Amino acid sequence: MSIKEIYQTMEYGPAPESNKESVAFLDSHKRKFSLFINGKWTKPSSGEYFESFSPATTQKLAQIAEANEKDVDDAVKAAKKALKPWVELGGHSRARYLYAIARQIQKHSRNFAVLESMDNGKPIRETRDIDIPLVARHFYHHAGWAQLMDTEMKDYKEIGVIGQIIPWNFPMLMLAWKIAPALAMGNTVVLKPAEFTSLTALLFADICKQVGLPDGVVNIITGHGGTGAALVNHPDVSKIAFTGSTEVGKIIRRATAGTGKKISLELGGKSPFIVFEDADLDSVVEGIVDAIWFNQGQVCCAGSRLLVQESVAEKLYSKIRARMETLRVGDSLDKSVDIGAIVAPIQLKTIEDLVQKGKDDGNICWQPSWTCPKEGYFYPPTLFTNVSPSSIIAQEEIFGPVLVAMSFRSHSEAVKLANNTRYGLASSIWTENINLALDIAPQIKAGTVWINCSNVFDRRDLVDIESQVMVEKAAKRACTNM
Amino acid sequence: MTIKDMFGNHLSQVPKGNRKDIRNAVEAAHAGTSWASMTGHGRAQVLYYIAENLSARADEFASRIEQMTNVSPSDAAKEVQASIERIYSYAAWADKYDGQVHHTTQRNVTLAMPERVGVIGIVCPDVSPLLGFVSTVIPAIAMGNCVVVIPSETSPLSATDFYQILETSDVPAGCINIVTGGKDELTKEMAKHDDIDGLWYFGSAEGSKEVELLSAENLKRTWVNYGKYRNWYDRAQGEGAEFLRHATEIKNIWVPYGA
Repeated sequence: MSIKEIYQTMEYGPAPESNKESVAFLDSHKRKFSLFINGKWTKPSSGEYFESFSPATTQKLAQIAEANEKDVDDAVKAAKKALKPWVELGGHSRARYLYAIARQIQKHSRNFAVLESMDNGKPIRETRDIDIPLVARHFYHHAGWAQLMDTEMKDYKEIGVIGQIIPWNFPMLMLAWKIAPALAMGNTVVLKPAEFTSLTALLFADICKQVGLPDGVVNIITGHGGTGAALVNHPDVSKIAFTGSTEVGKIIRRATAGTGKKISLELGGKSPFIVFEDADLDSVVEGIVDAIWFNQGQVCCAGSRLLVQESVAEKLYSKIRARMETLRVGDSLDKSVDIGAIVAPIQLKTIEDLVQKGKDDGNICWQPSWTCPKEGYFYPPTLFTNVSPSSIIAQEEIFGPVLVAMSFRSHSEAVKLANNTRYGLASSIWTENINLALDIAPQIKAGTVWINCSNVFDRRDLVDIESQVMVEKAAKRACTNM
Repeated sequence: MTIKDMFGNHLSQVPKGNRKDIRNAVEAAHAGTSWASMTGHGRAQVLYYIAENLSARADEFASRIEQMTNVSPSDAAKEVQASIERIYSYAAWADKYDGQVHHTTQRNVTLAMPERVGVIGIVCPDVSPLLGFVSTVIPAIAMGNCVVVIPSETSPLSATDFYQILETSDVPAGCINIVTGGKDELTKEMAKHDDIDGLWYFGSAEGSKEVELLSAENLKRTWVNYGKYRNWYDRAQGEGAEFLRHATEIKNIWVPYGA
């Protein structure tokens, strides 16, 4: 395409990010990854491996070890053995390790960003500008809490060995949310990444070796649900921290009932995105892009239910459709892509099925005129309007780039619709009237309320999410709950 | 059902509550919007009033405790005194359990505001029937929750006498709902209930397990003691931030700068 033509069409050309460093990392492990137990790469006792794919290209990336009960037991033993010396090191020494990890993550940030994008299918722009910087931020922040523990948190002590099970939608960010506060407070961990996205956790294991983290403080065990179940049921694990589906959360609650094991669960969501008639609608449109098309909508706190005041509903819908036409779906390593690939065929199928049910319910479905790339697992941004509040697509979490919209007349109706869900993770409110925003905010049953913004994150101070409420707590609290 | 003293003598009859009474109590608690919308300052005044009215009838409550548990008159008086002091503590906390403003990397004010959990079910400890009741119910309502309470199964009378204190202390309808009866049965009903937001249980290890199991379906927040002993007279164990944390959720409100 000539420059003259580009000026006329204003279209983006391909802007691929180099994957050289990440390929070198995969090759350095011969594309076959062992388990990281007691500071050493350990072959799985079952001898079994599974494949990890790039969802944007469907190419095989590597073979990943499947940990069984014995491997989990070895990992927990290693963590238990490492516990006492790790506690006795004291807050300052632990702070130095966490700080070193943060520095190393920044140093290798491009590799983390590219590898995460390849493994998960999310756009490189997102991993480079959001996920990985937040990961580093998190380790720095909790290095600080380790340093201050002896003086500011005198009454607190470590819990013990913490089992951590994380999802595939933000592999590194979830790892950071779980590992940083746990290590800061003197705990040791056994972490199981999601089976679709193990690679950056394994790169993190390399970082732990590089900074000389004592053996057994961090153990990474890969595998499927059976691996997670072995971890949940292990008697020497003092706490389970889980982010993932509501269904598995319930299983964990039942499995740990009466054992005295602490749990924190962060589960599903169907967060409302409330637009009042005086909102700046152009900002709202960009807010919606952040709310539901960020990370392909595979976000537990995605603003997936658009509630808009009736007087501006049609106007807003047409603006949203215009914006959807210009969204770009494609290879996650293309720097000018807005929406990447869906993590796996099974997730794509879930989205397709729910969209079909939404159509069957009589809701109006709209998709852009362009089509997605044929290679890879892609799904176009989708808008449902005139959705009935009881429709399955208004109640069930879709976990894909699908926005469902309905309108309201009065403020109290907006609150009622917003709270008409079993979830309570997040919400966002759009109005130019601060009095209205701060009147509505306390009435919404959700742990986070974003006013005139959406999916904004910072250091996250972990949380006892014993309910589905996402509560970002004061930093101290974070550490105490770990 | 009949409540007897330590020697088997008849003391009183109390209602034997069941699933429907729990249902009604939960509905009443959800309707208790005037308590939920009261300010911390307002709640503090009501709590001081409760303490004042309990003080006025301290002797009466002490002799009731003596009757039920066969403790010495001085120990009974001590329990009432400790209960009054505890109510003072939470009257103090009612307007002081504040949130925070966080420094984030964006141009935001990020407000972390504690708010009530909602409707909390409370299964009181069997020991120290008045102090156990006060130490669990009062922190929950101090933070604006409405509660459904199962008092001590064997010694419920100081809780049922407490009705009169509540009636004379400007406690609005729906704030405190008391259901007497079989502890295990009523606990199960509360754990299974979909419209209770939190459940506190002080009892046996088996009962604790049951609470956690039955609460899994609706994922309500639970707080149980796994049958472990807690000394309610010790202020470090019997009151303070631990209770307030369980009585609140944190809501983060992000307000960006810039026009």
